[in-house]
Amino acid sequence: MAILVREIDTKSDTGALDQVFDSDQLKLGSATDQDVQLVGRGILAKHATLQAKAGSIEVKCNSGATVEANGKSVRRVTLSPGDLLELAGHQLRVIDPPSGFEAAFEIEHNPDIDPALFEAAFTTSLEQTWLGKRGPAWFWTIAVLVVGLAVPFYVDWDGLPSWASDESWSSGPLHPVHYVAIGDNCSACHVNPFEQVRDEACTTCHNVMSDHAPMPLHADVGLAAIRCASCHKEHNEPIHLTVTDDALCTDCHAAPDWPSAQLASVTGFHNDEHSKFAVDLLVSTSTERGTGLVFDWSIEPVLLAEAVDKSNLKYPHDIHLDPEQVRDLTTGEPLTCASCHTLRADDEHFEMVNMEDHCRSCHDLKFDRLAPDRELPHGNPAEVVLMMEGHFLRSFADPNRQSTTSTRRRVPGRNRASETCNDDPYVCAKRRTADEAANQFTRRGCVTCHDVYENDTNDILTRYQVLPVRLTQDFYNVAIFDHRAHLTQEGALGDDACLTCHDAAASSTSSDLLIPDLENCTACHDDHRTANLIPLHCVDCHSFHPREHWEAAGLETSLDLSSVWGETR
Amino acid sequence: MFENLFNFRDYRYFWWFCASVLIGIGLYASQSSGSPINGGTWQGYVLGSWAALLIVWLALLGYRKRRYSSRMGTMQGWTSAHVYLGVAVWLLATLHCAAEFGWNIHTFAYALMTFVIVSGMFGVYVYLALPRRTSDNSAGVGRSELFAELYQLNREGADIAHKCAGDVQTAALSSIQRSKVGGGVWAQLTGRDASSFETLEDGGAANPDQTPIIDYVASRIPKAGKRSEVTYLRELLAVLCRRQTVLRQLREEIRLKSWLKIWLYVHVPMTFATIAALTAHVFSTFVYW
Repeated sequence: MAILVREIDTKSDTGALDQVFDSDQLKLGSATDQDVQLVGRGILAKHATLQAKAGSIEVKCNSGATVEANGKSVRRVTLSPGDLLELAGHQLRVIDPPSGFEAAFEIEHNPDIDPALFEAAFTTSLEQTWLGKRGPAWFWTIAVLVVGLAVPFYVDWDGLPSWASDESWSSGPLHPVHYVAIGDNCSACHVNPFEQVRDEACTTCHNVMSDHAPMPLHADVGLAAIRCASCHKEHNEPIHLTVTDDALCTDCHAAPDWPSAQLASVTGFHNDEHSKFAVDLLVSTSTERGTGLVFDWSIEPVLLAEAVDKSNLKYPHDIHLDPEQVRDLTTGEPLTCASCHTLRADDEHFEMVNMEDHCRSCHDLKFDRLAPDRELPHGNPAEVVLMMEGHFLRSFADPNRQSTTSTRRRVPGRNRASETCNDDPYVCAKRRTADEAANQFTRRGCVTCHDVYENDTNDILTRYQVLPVRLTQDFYNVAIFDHRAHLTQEGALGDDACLTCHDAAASSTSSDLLIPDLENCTACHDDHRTANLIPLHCVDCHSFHPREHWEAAGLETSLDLSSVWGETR
Repeated sequence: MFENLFNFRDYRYFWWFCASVLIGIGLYASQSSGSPINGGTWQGYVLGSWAALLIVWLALLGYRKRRYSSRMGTMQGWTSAHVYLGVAVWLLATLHCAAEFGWNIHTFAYALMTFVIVSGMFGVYVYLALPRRTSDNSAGVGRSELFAELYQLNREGADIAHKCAGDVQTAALSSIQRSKVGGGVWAQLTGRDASSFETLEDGGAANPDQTPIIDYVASRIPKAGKRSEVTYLRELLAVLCRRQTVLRQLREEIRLKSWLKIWLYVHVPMTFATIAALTAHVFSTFVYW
C-alpha cells in the first residue's frame, strides 16, 4: 500500500516532484515532521490525517482544525478523484491513483503565503501549553472555600482531619485548663455565630469570682459594657489570659472619681506619676479611765512621710545593730536582722517580734540580786507586784536571812538600806516591794522597753500601767512585695540587702517606721520606659480589686455581692 | 529618564508606600505591651481591614487591565500602585497578625498572600530585566521574521538535500523535519533543544543546537566523489549554519518570553485562592467572634 503525492512546482523545469509514501495514512500540518507540510493562516502544526481507501481519501481534521472541501468548510470528509481540498490557498486535488498506489493527489502550493506563519508549526508560547490561569484559579478558589470554609462550617463530624474542621479556624491554643474542660468544642464558648462570647460562657464554670470590681458596681465605674473577654482573651500565644497591661489600671486610676476622692491619681510607675506611698498604720487614741489609760486602736492610711510609729515600744535599732554595743549572749556574734525578723512562708510578711523569742535571751526579768534565779512574769504589772510581794515576804520572814546578809560581801558606798530591814517582815516586804516596783517601772527593768503610765495613787497594784504594745503587721495592705526575691541584690547580700531599703542602722527610736517610700522603689524599677531599670507592671505589686478592699470600704454591707463572689470564699 | 513602574509621576506610589508603612507601624506600636498584640485589638482590626481592602483592590488590576477604554487612571499608574501597595500589603498583614503564625486558616491565607506577593516581585524583576535581553538576543529582528527566515532556510535546505547523495539527503531532511523550537513548558523555559536527525549509518541521533548535523555534513565534504557534490554540500552547510543561528535566536526569544509570563500562572490563580482564604479567615473570625 502506498500513496503518491505530486507537488506541482510552477517555477521548476520538471513541473512536478513526486513523493511516494509507503503507508495508507498521511499526516498533514505545518510542523516539519508532518508528511505533508503546508504553512498558512489557520493551518495547525498537526492539522489533519489523510486515510487512503481504494482511490479515495478520507480527511479527518484534528481538534480545532477545518478544511475546505469542494468549497465547503468541513471537519471530516471523504474525497474521490477529482475532488478539491483547500487550506489557506493551498490546493490538494485527488487524482486517479496509478497502479500500485492506494491513492494519489496533487498539491499546488499557494505562492503568496507568508512564511512568517511558519510559527504556527511550533508551540512557542506558554498559552499554547497545558498551563492556564482561569482553570487553576477556579480550582484553588473552590478548593479553599470548600476545605477552609464550607466543610468546617457545615460538617460536624469528629472524623474530619483538623485541617478541614473548625479546629483550623482556631487562631491559637486554648489555655490548658480550658482545653481539658471543653476540648475542641468551639461552641462551648462561641454559642451563637457572629456574636461575641458572652459572660455567661465564662460564669457557667466561673460562678465564684474574686479580685474583680463587683459587677453591680460596674456601671458606677464605667465598666457596664465590658465583657469578661474584653480583658481575658483566649487563643493567644503565648497563653495569656490575664491582662497585665498598665492601661487596664490607669484607664480609671489616672482620674479616679469613684467611690469618692479617696483614691490618688496614678498614671504610671514614676516618681511624679504614682501617688506617694501611704502606710496602713496602727494608730491609737488614749483616754484616762479609772486609774489608767484606755487605748482605742485602728488602722489608718497615713502618708509615709508623715507617719510616726506609736507602738508604745522602745527599741533603738542602731544600738542593737552595733556590734560594739550588742552581741548575742550565747554566741557572742553581732545581732542580725534575722535575729528578730523571721520571714513568713508568703515571702512578704514577717513573724511578729515578741518578748519571749526575741528579747528575753538578753533582757532577763531578774529583780532581786539575792535571788538570781527568780524572774518577774512578763505582761501583767499587777501580777509583777504581787509576785514581788510574795517573794520579799518569804525572804524577810526567812530566819536564815540575817546570816545570809551578814556573810555577803559588801560593795563600798552602796546603800543597802532596803535590803536590811529589822521591822516586821511584812512591813519590810511591803516597803521593799514598793521600792523595787518603782525601780522596775520608772528607772530600769520594764521601763527600758516600755512606756509606763504612773498615777498618783498609793495603791501599788494600780499605780503603774505598762502601755500596751501593738505592732503594725502589714504596712502596705494594697501592695504585694517579695522580700525573698529582694534579698539578692547587686552588691548587697544578707543584712546589707535589708539595710539597702530599711535604714535601721541609723534609727535610734522606734517611732521611725523604716518603711521605704516610692523613691526607694523607683531607684531600681519603672514601668518600661527607662533603660537599666527593672520594669514593673501595676499587677506586679497590686492585686486587681481584691475583695478585702471592697469589704474594708464597707461596700459589701450596702450591696448584695454574693452573686458576684459567691456565698463563701 | 524614562518613566517606569517605580518612578511613575515622581515616585507618587512610592510615597504612598512610605505613608502606608509609617501609619501601619505607628498603629502597631500604639498597641500596649501588657496584653497580647494580635489582630484582635482595635489597631489589629484596622490593619486587617486595610490590608484586606488593599488585596481586593490589587486583584482588580486584572479587571482594569481588560477594560482598555477605561479612563480611570493609566495602566502604568495602576501597575505602579499595584507594585508598591502590593509590597505594603505584605507589611500591613504582618503587622496585623503581629507575626504570630500557626497551623490554621489564618496563617494559610497569609502564606498564600506571601506566595502571590513573592511571585509578583519576581514578575517585576523579569519585566525590568528581560526586555533588554530580548532585544540584545535578536538584534532587533522580530520573531515572525525569524520564523519566515527559518521557513525559507528549511525549503532551501530541503531543495539542496534532494540533490545530494542518499546518506546526506536522509540526514539533512530528517534534521530539518525534526528541528524543535519551543515545545512544552519545560522546553520553553529552559530553551533546551530536543532536535534529532537520522543517518543511514547509525539511525536516529540527538541533534542539540544543530551541531551534530553540521559536523556530519562537514565531514562528508572530503569524501565527496564529484566536484558538484562538494558544491552542494557546501551550500547545504551554509544553510544549516544559518539555520543554527536562527534557531538559537528563536529558542532564546521563546525562553525569555516564557519567563516573562510564567509567574503569572502562579500569581493570578493564587490571587483568587488568597481572596478565598481571606474570605474564610474573615468569616471564621466573626463566626467564632
